[in-house]
Amino acid sequence: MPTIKLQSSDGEVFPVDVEIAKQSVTIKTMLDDLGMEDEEEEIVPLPNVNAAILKKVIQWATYHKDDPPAPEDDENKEKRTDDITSWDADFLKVDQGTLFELILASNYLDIKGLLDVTCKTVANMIKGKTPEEIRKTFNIKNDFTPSEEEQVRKENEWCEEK
Amino acid sequence: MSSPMWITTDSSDQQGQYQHEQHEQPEQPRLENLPKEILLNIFEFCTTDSLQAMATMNAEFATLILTSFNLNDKRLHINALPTELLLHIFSFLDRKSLAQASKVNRRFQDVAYDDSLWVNSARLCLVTNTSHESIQNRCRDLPSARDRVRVSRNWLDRRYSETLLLTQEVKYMPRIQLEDRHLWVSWGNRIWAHPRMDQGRVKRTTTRVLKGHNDDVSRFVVKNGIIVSGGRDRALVGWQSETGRFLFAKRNCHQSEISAVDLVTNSGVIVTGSRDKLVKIWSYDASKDNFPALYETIDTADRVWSLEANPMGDCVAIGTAGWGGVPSLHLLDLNTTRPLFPVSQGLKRGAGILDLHWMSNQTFLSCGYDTTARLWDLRTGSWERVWTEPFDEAVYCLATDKNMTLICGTARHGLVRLWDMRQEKPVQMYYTKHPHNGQSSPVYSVAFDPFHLYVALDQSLSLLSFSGLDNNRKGQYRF
Repeated sequence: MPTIKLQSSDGEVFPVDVEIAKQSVTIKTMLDDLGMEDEEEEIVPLPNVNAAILKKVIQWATYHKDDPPAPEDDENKEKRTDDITSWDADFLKVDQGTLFELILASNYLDIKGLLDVTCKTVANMIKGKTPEEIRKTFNIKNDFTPSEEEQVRKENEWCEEK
Repeated sequence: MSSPMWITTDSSDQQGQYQHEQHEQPEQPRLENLPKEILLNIFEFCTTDSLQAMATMNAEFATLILTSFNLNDKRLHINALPTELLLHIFSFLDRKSLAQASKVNRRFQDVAYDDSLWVNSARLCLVTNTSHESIQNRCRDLPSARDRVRVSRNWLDRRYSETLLLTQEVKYMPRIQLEDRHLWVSWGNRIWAHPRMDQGRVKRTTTRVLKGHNDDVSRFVVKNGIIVSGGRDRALVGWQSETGRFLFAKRNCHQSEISAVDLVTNSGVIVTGSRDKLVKIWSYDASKDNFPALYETIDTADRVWSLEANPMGDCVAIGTAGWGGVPSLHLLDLNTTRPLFPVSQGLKRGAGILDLHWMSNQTFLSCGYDTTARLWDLRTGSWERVWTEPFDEAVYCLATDKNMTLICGTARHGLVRLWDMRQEKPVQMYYTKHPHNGQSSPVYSVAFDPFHLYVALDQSLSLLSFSGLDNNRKGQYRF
């Protein structure tokens, strides 16, 4: 199977199966447009992804290499967050920083499956929490003045009924 | 995490082991005495904030931290995610969690209120979704998608505040028309203009009162900068709507009261209908100061009560009393001035049509004495949908957003009914208060925009506001 070499921002080079790497639309487009596939020794630089994260991304893509293509989002359907597989859940048992870096990397590399599952994981960290609990979870400062806080509370009362 | 104290205590075990190997010092173990690899191992687990804090402790730490970690890289914190990605995360939240998230801080609030998270639900919202261009143009300012979802719920749950905009001493049969700059109301022989303000409210005071009729105005229409009204005095009167400048008064147009009038868009044609059973077509050129000139008369064989031309201006729907064996709905081809095929299958005797509104060039809504509102389609030549007033009241007037909202005014108790045109059953009802206790009035005319409902009773004009905003305190919510 043909491989390509992905180079992280900090210079580390990872040889990867082309088919696995092509789960990234960014890499796929690069290969298709530039015909980089032909040249064996070509190195694809990924200046926005460091080695630690790239390693995780490759690990994820390797596990998911046989997945069917993700279905198009149905705009009118409520999005689910309880459909994360146990492998993905285990894979994403990482610190928040890594999780956010994975989100940025999957967005940059355009890997929809990984982007969705990482964002769902963060969404699950928000779900069912009070504003104060959310602040604690993500170490966020409350920058509302007391009157703004009262206003935003009123503005959201209707969302909380039912 | 950010406290250096925590690091010291937590790492003291490891520190102890290494101290024996390296220094054999009996003194209190210190963090900075740890070998580089161990420190780096510890630092791996620290947040950017605590790393920054530790870098300030001593130069050795600073060199170590700054060479091994990219502290300018703030990506470790959720705040560092670009808005599009925060939006993607929030797109997985249900409405309740979104509400909690918006109370976290200003950035979360901005993201949680973003149109992209609400636009799909807003598209399905009754009353507030305003997808039709002509309705959008009429709105003073289009509410955000989130507000459309919120206010639609207020309509559905009957949460509103009611204001009497004005009352009259005498009983009239007022008509109203909502336009982008004004709400127009006919009281007796005058037409009043209430200027519209922010968020679609109107001023109580009028900026203009149009006079020209000797008797009550029956119907009027505001279109293309012109107001044309027909009255019980059999006169047809025109003004410029912007300036209120009087244009013409054509007396004795019919043998009896003019009961219906419309101005055909783009063709300079005025259509009038009367109790004298005739429909008359007048040519009128607004650019020249002239009188409407009669060019066609059509006998409907029944008293005319309502009429409206389709947006394209090639067809007029005419509603009549429904007596004498004459069907109550007529269609007139404006190009040939010949009647189109009959369409009133299913309408009973006496099912007079009191109000008509076109939805598109092929479809229109009608309502009347048979206690229903109906949707008609020229392509099938019959009615496609029917909505029956559950309280068995005649339906006097209707208003629509040309999408899926239908609002009907009924014959008694100021009752206004809200329909979702996709459903058979009514969605909600609103009783408009009469200024005099215990009195009951038909709803003579209704108009609405996403946040407000205007209801004209015999002696009053009421505003039902569904916005939930407190008009006395800017930006404050009451419901």
